[in-house]
Order: sequence, then structure tokens, then C-alpha cells
Amino acid sequence: MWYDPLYRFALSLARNGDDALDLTQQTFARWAEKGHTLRDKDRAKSWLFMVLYREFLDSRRLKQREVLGEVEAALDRQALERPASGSGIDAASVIAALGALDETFRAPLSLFYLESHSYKEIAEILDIPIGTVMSRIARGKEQLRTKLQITAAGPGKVVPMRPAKGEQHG
Amino acid sequence: MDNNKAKLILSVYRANGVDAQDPMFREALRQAESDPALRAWLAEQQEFDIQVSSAFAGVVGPVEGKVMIQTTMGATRPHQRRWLWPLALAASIAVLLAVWTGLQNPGGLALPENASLAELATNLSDHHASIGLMSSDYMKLRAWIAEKGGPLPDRLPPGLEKMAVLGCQTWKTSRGKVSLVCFVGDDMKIVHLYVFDQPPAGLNGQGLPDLAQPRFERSGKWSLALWQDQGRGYVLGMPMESGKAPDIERFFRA
Repeated sequence: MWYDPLYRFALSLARNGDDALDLTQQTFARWAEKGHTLRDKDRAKSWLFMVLYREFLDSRRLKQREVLGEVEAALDRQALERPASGSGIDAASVIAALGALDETFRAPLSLFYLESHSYKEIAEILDIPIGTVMSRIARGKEQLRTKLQITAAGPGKVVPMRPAKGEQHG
Repeated sequence: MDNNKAKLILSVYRANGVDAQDPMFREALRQAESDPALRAWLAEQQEFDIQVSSAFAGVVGPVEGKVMIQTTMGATRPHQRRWLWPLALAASIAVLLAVWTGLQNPGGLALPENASLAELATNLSDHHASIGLMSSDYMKLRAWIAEKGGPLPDRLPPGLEKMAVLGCQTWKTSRGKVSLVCFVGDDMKIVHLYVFDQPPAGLNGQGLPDLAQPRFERSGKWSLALWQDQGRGYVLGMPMESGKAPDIERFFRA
């Protein structure tokens, strides 16, 4: 049930399809191993995302490598279920833009756009206070807007999105 | 609340209902209802969020990954347990005993002293089944095993070289270090390769043949192939299905 959302989260973190799949599989392996110890089954969703995030941090510590260039290749291999919307924002550009964000913003913003976690759950998954989650999402969204405008514009193309009016928060 | 503060709060409000019950947003939402400029700003924010979230939802994981997970979950899912007090107490005692035993026997996971190589492998499969790392990248599995100090497989039977890998594990045991690499075929059947970091003679595996002519055995529900190579003992195992022994010899045909 959570395979696709977990893969989405993993892809935004790992920025390449192979590592994303490994992270997703590893998460389910942990579930098979330890899921039965979870007393409150309502927390299973948060638990899975939390495990995936920890696995990502662990694997990153081991590898410490940059894989930005692999994003495009990963997207070529995977199925994109929905066609690009008329806005010019499609799955490939969202994944690329998320992948190009500062890492501080990437995880909270990905969970924000998965739209299935409350702020309390996001804070729990990332092990940071709710206030920090919100401020990272707010700042991350500004970065994402900029990245998507750049991505959508490309060389010599028109930006399809409206200028971000009143975006400053004072 | 001034509009700047309201914007800060509303910039993280999701219109799909997930934040609808969160009291933090109520006042800012009320303000947006009564202020046309703020309302227009919020509508523009939400339009952007909807575009991004619907595009993000278009990313789906590879189908083969899902199949692989379903296959391995079926293979590794532990029995459901009821966490009753007496069992919890018994478990606590067992943990204490295990810690005490561990202190007495610093050799790691205790395996039967007189068990044969085949029995050691099936003991690990039947009683200590777990996967330390899941990955379809063989080099990544090797790097993980090496990092944990486990024995690495050297030469593989020809049939295994064509298969995909699923994951691995490594143990420090009372009978030496052991590694496991799980392979999966096109038929989604899983094959376990155990590598023992000791000469087979030291593991009651004296006289094991070389890789070119392995010895085939059955042990419990397992069909096994055993051989030695470069001073290490190897056991390849496949579980029998409905009492039918799988064709394990095929992995050794060129």
C-alpha cells in the first residue's frame, strides 16, 4: 500500500532510481523483521517513513557520494503514471527540482507534497520540532519555486508559471 | 495577526484536508476569508502546491521492485506474536540468559558444536533468518559484507552469476564468521548462498568436493549443494515446495 509513496520519498532523498529502490526494499525488509513489534498499528505509516529516512541517513554516511547527474537516467527508467499537466510542472521536473534543493529542505518538502502526513507525523519522522518542519517547508517552497521556474523556462523558453506575487513574508 | 504572519502560516497549509483539523491554521484561514488580497495570494499558493503534489504523485516505483518486495516479505515475514505479559517476562529472562551466555561465550551467535556444514546453514535459515541489507547491486552487497568483516563469496556457480541479488547478511558465530547472499531467479524463487569463513574440515565438512563437482544433499525442508573453494565452505540452499525438491543442480551447469 505504501510502496509508491515510500519510493517517491526515497527518490527525492537519494536522487537516483537504484538507490531509491534499495531504500524502499530495505524499509520493507525492516518491516518484515520488526513490524510485528509495533504495538500501535496506526503508527505503521510514520514508522515506515521514519525507517526509510534513517536508512537513507545511514547509507549516506557510508557512501558520501554525489549522484545529481543520475536523476535524469533514473527518470528515464521509471514509469510516470500521469501525463504532464498544462502548467509545465511534471513529475520529472518536480523530482529534479526537489533533488536540487538543499538537503535540509528536501525531506520535509517531499513529505509535505506527499500530502499524507500531519505536521506532527513529519516532525516525528524527521526527528525535528514541528516549528522547524514548518519553517523548512516554507523556505524550501521558495527554493522549489525558483528551481521549477528555471527548469520550466529552459534556454529561450517562456516561464509558464505566474510570477510569485507577494511571496515575501515580511 | 498581520498579513505577513498569516502568509507565513498559510504558506504551509495544504488544501487537500490533511491540515484541516490543525487549530494552528484556523485564525490565518479566517483572516484570508475576510481579506481579498490575502485570499488571492493563498489561492495562488495552493495552485502551485496542487501542481507540484499532483506531479509528484505521478512518480511510481518500478513494478519489479514491488514484486521483489512481495516475494521477500513472504519469505522473511515472522510469525505473528501476541505480546502477553507472561511471554514478555519469559522473553526478558531469555534476553538475560542470552546476555549471560554471550558473556560466557564471546564467540558470537551460538551454533551447535557438532553440527555439519549443512546443518549449520539450515540452522541459520530456520532460526536466524534475517536480511541485513537489501539491494539488487551485487557490488554494494559485497561492500557491505566486507565492511562488517564477513567472508565474501569468491567464485560463484555458473547459474548464480546470471541471477539477480536481493540482499545479504553476515553473522559472527561460535563456528566462525558466516555470510549469506540471497539470489532470485526469473521465477521469483529465492536461493541462499552461505559462505563459511573456515576451512570445511573445521566445520565437519571434511572431504567436501570442489565447485566443479558439488555434493547434493537434503536437510529438513532444504535442498542443498555443498562445496569448498579457496579454503572456505559454501552451501547453496533452496527450500522444497510442497514436498518437491527443486532442481538445485541446474545452478552448476554451464
